[in-house]
Formats: sequence, C-alpha cells, structure tokens
Amino acid sequence: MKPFKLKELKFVINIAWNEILILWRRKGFQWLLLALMVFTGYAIVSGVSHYREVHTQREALKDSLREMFLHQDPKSPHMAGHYGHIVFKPYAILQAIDQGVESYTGTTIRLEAHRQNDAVFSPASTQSSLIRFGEFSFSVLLQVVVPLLIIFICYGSIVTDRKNGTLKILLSQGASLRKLVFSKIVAYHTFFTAFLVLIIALFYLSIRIEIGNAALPMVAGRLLLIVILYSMYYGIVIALTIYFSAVANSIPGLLTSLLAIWFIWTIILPKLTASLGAVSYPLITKAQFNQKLTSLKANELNGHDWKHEKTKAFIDSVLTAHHVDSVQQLPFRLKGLLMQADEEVKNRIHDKVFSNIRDTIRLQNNVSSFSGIINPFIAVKKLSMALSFTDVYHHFHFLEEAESYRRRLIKELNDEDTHKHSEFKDKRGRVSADFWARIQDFKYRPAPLPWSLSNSKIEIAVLFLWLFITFSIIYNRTPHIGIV
Amino acid sequence: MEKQEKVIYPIDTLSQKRDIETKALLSELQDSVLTEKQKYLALTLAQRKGNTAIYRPTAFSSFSIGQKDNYPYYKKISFSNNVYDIEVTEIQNPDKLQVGNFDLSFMFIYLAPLLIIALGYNALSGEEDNNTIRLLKMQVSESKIIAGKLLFLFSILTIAATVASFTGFYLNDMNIHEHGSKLIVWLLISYSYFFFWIGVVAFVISFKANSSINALVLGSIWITSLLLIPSIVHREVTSSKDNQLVDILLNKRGDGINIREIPKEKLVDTMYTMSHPYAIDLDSSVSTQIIQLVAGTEIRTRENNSLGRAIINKQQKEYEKAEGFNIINPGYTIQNAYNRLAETEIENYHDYLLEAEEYQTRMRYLVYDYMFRPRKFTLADYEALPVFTYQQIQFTWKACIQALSPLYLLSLLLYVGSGLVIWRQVKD
Repeated sequence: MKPFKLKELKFVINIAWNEILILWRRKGFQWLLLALMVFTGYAIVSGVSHYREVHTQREALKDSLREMFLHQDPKSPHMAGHYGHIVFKPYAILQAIDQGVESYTGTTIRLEAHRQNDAVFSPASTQSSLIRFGEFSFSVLLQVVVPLLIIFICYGSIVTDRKNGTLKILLSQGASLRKLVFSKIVAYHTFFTAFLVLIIALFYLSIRIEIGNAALPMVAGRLLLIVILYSMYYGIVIALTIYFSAVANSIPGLLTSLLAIWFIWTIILPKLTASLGAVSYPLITKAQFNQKLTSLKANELNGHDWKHEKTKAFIDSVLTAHHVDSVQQLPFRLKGLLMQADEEVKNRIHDKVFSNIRDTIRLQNNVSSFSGIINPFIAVKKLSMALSFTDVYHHFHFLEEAESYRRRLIKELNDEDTHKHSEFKDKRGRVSADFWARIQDFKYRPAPLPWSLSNSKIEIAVLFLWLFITFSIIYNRTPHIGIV
Repeated sequence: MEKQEKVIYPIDTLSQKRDIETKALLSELQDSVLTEKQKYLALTLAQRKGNTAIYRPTAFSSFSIGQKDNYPYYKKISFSNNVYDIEVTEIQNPDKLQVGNFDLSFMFIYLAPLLIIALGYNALSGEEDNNTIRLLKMQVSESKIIAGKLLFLFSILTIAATVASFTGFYLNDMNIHEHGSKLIVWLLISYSYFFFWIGVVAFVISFKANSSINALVLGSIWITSLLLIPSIVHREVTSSKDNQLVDILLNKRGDGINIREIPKEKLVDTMYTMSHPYAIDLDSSVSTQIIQLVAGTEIRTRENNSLGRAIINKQQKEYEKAEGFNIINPGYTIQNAYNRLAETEIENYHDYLLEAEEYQTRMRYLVYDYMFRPRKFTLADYEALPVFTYQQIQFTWKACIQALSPLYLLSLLLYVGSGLVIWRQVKD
C-alpha cells in the first residue's frame, strides 16, 4: 500500500467535509438523529434511575442483613455456620450501558456451612416473556439501532451518484473511486464517532452526578474502551456499506441485501450459534450434578457422621498426632477441627464438579465467539458485556468471590469452635456479639480491566481481523469497480 | 423442550423409586400398634407420595418456548414449604438464555415482517422505478395494484406459515385429534400478525414516496415495534423484587415466625379460629399435642406461601400493566398469544404454582384428617392419596381473539388510514 500524499489527504478531507455538510442538511437524517437523541436521552435517564432503584435497594438489604448477622441470637459457632449469611451481587453502574446476562443470573446467595448454594433470584425468572424482546439500554442503541441507521444513511452514498450520473462527473475531475470511497468512509465514521463520544460523555456526566467521583476511575477506562470498541464496529459497518454501495447497481436490491446482512448478524446468528454451542457441548442436568456430588461425598470424610470410616481414620490420626487416647484428652475441641476438615473435602469436590460446568459453558460460548469470524456483531456484543461487568465470566467472578468469603467465614467459625475456651464464648459455648463484629462483611471487588479483557481474546482478535480484511478488500478491490 | 424432558425424566424415576420404597415401609408397619409416633411417621410418609409437582412442557411448547426455560421445571412439595420459592432447578448457560430461542414463533414474529417489508416496500414505487406504472394504470387503479400485490404477498405468507406449522406439527409427533384445534388457533394468530404487517406496508406505500423512503420508514417501524417498544415497555413496567425475594430466603433460613415461641395454648386456639379450606373434625378425642403440631405446620405453611404469593401478585400486576401497552406493542401481543397457546407464559406458570399450592393444601388436610382420627395410616391410605396432575389453562379461539383485539384495532386503523390517503390522492 502506498501512503497518502498531502494533496490526496486534502482531497479526502474536502470530500469528507462536503459529505458531512450534505448529510447534516438532509431532512430525513435530521429526523432520524432527533429520534436517536430522544432514545439516547431516555437510555441515560432510565438506565441511571434503574441503577438508583436497584442499587439503593440492594445496599439497604446488605446493611439490614449485616445487622442481622451482627445481632443474631447467641449460638454455637457450628449452628452459626448453618445460619450463615446472605450476600448480594452489587449492581454495577455500567449495567446502564449493557445489561448483558445480568437478568439471567442469580443476584443473591445464602452462604452457609457444608453447602455451596446457587445464586438465586435471577430477575428474568420473575418476569413475563416481554423480557425476551431484550432490555432497553445503551447497548440496544449502540449495537442494534445505530448500525441500522448507518445502513440507511450510507447505502446510497455512491450508488445514487452512479444512478444520477454524477459519479462519472466527480471522477472525471481527477479523483479515483478508491479515494472517493475512503473519503466517504472518513466522513461518516467521523460523524458517528463524534456522536458516540458525545453520548458516552453525557452518560459519564450523568453517572458523575449519580455516584460522584468515587467509582469514576474504575469506569473511565472502560468507557473509553467502549467508545473505541463501537468506533471500530461502526468503521466496519460504514466501510462495508459504502463499498457495497460502490459495487451495487440497484438501489432497492442493495438496501434489501444490507438489511438482510444486518438481520442475520444481529438477530439470527447470535441465537443460532448459542443453540449450536448448547447442542455441541451439553450441560449436565441438576439431578446429575447433585448425584455426582452425593456420590463423591459419600466416600469422603463426613463431619456429621463419626462412624464413617474416613472420619474415624481422621480422628485416629489426630489422636495419634497429639499422643492421646481419647477425644476428651485433646487440648482443643475435635468437632471444630473435624468440621473444617469436612469443609475442605467438600470444597475440593465442589470445585471439581463446578469447574466442569464452567468449562462446558466456556466451550459453549466459544462456539459463538468463533462465529465472530463471520459476524463481527458477536465480538462487539461480548466485548461490550465484558467491559460493562455483565458477561457470564463476571458472574463467575462474583460467585468465586462469594465462595471465598463463605470459606473464610466458615473457617473462622470452625476455628472458634475448636477452642475449648475463648473470650467470645459463654459457658454453653455460644459466641457473643463481639465475635460477629470481628468478622468483616462481604465486599465484592469487581474484576479489574485486564481480567475482563483476558476472557475476550477471541473477540478482540476477531474484531481486528475484520477491520484488516474489510479495509484490505476495499483498498484492493475498489479500483476494479466499474464506474457506469 | 427435549432438554426439559431430559431433566424431568430422572425426577419422575426418583419419584417412582421413592414410591416403591415407601410402600415397602408401610407394609412393614401394617402390624404395628397405633401410637402417636406412628402418626408422626404418617406425616413423613404421606409427603413422599407427592413431593414433586412437575411443570411439564406441552406439545406446543417447542413452537413457542416463551419463558418456559426460565421457570423451574418442577417444585418440591412438602407440607410446610413455600411452593412459590424460586429455586434453581436446572443448570443453564446465561448467555444462551439471554440470546433467546430459535423457535417457530420467533421466525414468524421477526422474520415474516421483514419478508413482508422486503417484498412489499416497492409494490408501487418499484413500478415507477421501472417505468411500468403508466402501463399498469391504464388497466387498473393504483389502489387495486397495491391491494392485488399485497393480497398475493399475504397468500404466499399464509401458505408458507401453514406449511411450516404443519411440518412442526409432524416433527413433534402431534395428534391432529388432540391438538388440531390448537393448531387452528396457532394459525389464526400467525395470519392476524401477517395481516397487521401487510396493513403497515399498505399504509406506508399509500403515501407514494420513493422506494428508499419506503424502505427507511418500514425498517424504522420494524425496529421500533419489535426492539424498541417492547424493551421500553419492559423497562417501564418492571421493578425490582429483591425485598420480597429476600423475605422468602430469610423465612427459609428460620428468621420468620418461630413456632416454638408461640405459647402452646395459643397454638391450639389458632386451630379453632383460623378458616380451613377443608373440613376438619377436632373433637375432644384429639390430643392437644397433635393439634399443636398441626397448628404449627399450618401457621408456618401459610406464612411461607403468603410471602411467595405476594411476589406473584406483584408479577401479575406488572404483567397486566404490560398488556395495557399492547395497542402500541404488536410484537409482544403476538408473542404473548403464542405463549399462552403453548402454555409458556408467566400466567401459565402462576396457574401451575397456584395448583401446586392447592395440591399441597389438599394433601396436608388429608393427613390432618387421618391424624385427628383414631386410625392407622395404612398402605391403602397411602395409595388413596392424590398425585399432582396439572391441567393447563386452555387458550381458546375466543380468548385468542380477545388477546389479539389491540392488534386488530391497530390493523383496522392502518387499513382505514391507507384507504383515506389513497382516497385523498384520487380526489386531489
């Protein structure tokens, strides 16, 4: 590829500027832009108010659950483990940009001893089929509506000139079709990127008003990447639309084809590839999952069954290690130690079975990730969710954090149970309120940006591949397109 | 739906296995004396009979999956649990749930309008582009050209939809005698929707704009009615239910009513003062201990279910609120009608839950009756206990027409509107 000379660059800028002016003066475009701005305003206002509603409610619940935890009735550490604690997934402000899979994942987990409970109360499970039409957010506008708008605005950019005979006149002044195509791409891309920057800036301002400066460092980088992501996607859509406009002979035929591509990319392929992934890598059923857990646990140490062979072996090993003959002679309470051993065994089993499920889900999702090779929309959709903390991997991240907290909490309780005497225990072995105050509440730390992107390597690669191939085709093929 | 059957199969198998075990246990107890302990045992054994209420997919569920994959496939029923409790009964990939299902209703709702737009947007302008309009107008009027072309389009679509539906019918091994009437309702819904979209195209092209403008306007209508309006209505009608859901979880954990804290005399009094859905005979021979046990169970169960019912009442209100927008929400109007026919909508799930509660109550009172009388709980008693059989709500053609009435009104407005536009043009 030869680099552009200054004169050529001037030509591109002139044509691009002219194109933007023409676009700006089109009445139809003004109406579409107005409608888009109205929807954008609605997306910002409704997204932030929805955040306020859910965030406030979850924070209040979190506080009241913490109060209940701190002021629970006196009970033994073991019983406190059964009583457990309830934690909530925080509602991230970037969910206002992309809801992702949040409506289909549980938001609340009861943490208790011996059990790794599911996250429950996924919002979609309490709603009608209206939710299956999608949830209104920025992502609907950015991923679905704007590309369609691009098609409507750009499809006639060259084919109309050809039909009117003005293309020949334009090119007779010394410009090449390649330069014209690139000029128009620059024009439309500049316009849509400016629009993107404007609406993301508006969103940024609204969240600054809503949450102050505290969380901004975490979201600012992500918002910038969201702008870059959509700018890349719009670049692909604009370039392809203009290229097809240069190739096409029939205006209605071109529009129908572009709409068909949009429909296949946006609506059909995501569903098809998700179904294909589910069929290719089927998940085990809950009954199979439970059966597997039960059978694996049956052969392991059981803290509640002192007659179990493995439990007896554990007790014997403890007695031998402490050179005593009976449990009563031990300098600590064996029950606490046994319960912790039981926990650790069950944790290992759970990790093994649960990691299989996550691996299967990852394999299922990889099918649609790789479909990005024929559908850049998928890559954009998944990256958008990753940047908004709302993809399935962020949900797993939350589950892992909650599970780590559960393990720390139960270990503290079991350790306390192990002590024969403790400043926190009364005569009956029940722990006091001071003990609960020592235990830190669950505080979910969202995944850092590099972690979020590390799960989307395929999508990032696919998007760059699309950009490279699209512009290579345009650069190499445009000179061969007939003018008349 | 195959996946749901795969999930339900082991649940059925487990229930049958448990049933056999319970019968063997009861056979052993036949000769034992009647003791209070044996009466308590009856509670446990009777629960084994119907401890799972399965929410099966119907034959039409695969045509319109709706929310079926989002709701539990079965419920564990005990005498005192909350049948409305939201449990995770299946392992799902959230990505798959989020993108939705590729079923026949999706094809009709999203693809058919696009086909109508793609084939109809230049019904008139295309003739102008090809310079054939003058030739045609010499033979027939413009309104007849539009009507003829759109009627042809409607016929093609109805034939295609009928063939696709019959193919689905055949592939799902459905019986024409059993499901024939439903198939007619299914086709009625589909035809009504095509009729509406033909009306949209007729209205837009009646303004005689050029092909590009028509395509742009129709594309905008498509995206507005199928993507923007439903998602905005959803945003407006739904609210967080976290508070109510957490109440259920707290109650389950034991933070709710503590029966042991209620004075025993008060428990007995409660049994006499509360209203009972089934007759009970609390004569003097019934021991106070039994009455206390029953009263405790009854208070706990009612409390549990009342929390769950509060949530479904809230969901029901949101559902009705969403229906109020149907006049501007044709996509959802149709999806809702398909789902109600396929029994995969939230109202079907609610109906199933109410039935499950009714079943739970009936079972509880049958056992109370046994516990209040001086007789043993035998194998015959166990076998006489009912099993949960759920009769789905029938979505008749009358209900269908009622559900589609906003769409018919909208269609009428479009046809009258396009007629008026053409009439004005002819007049001018």
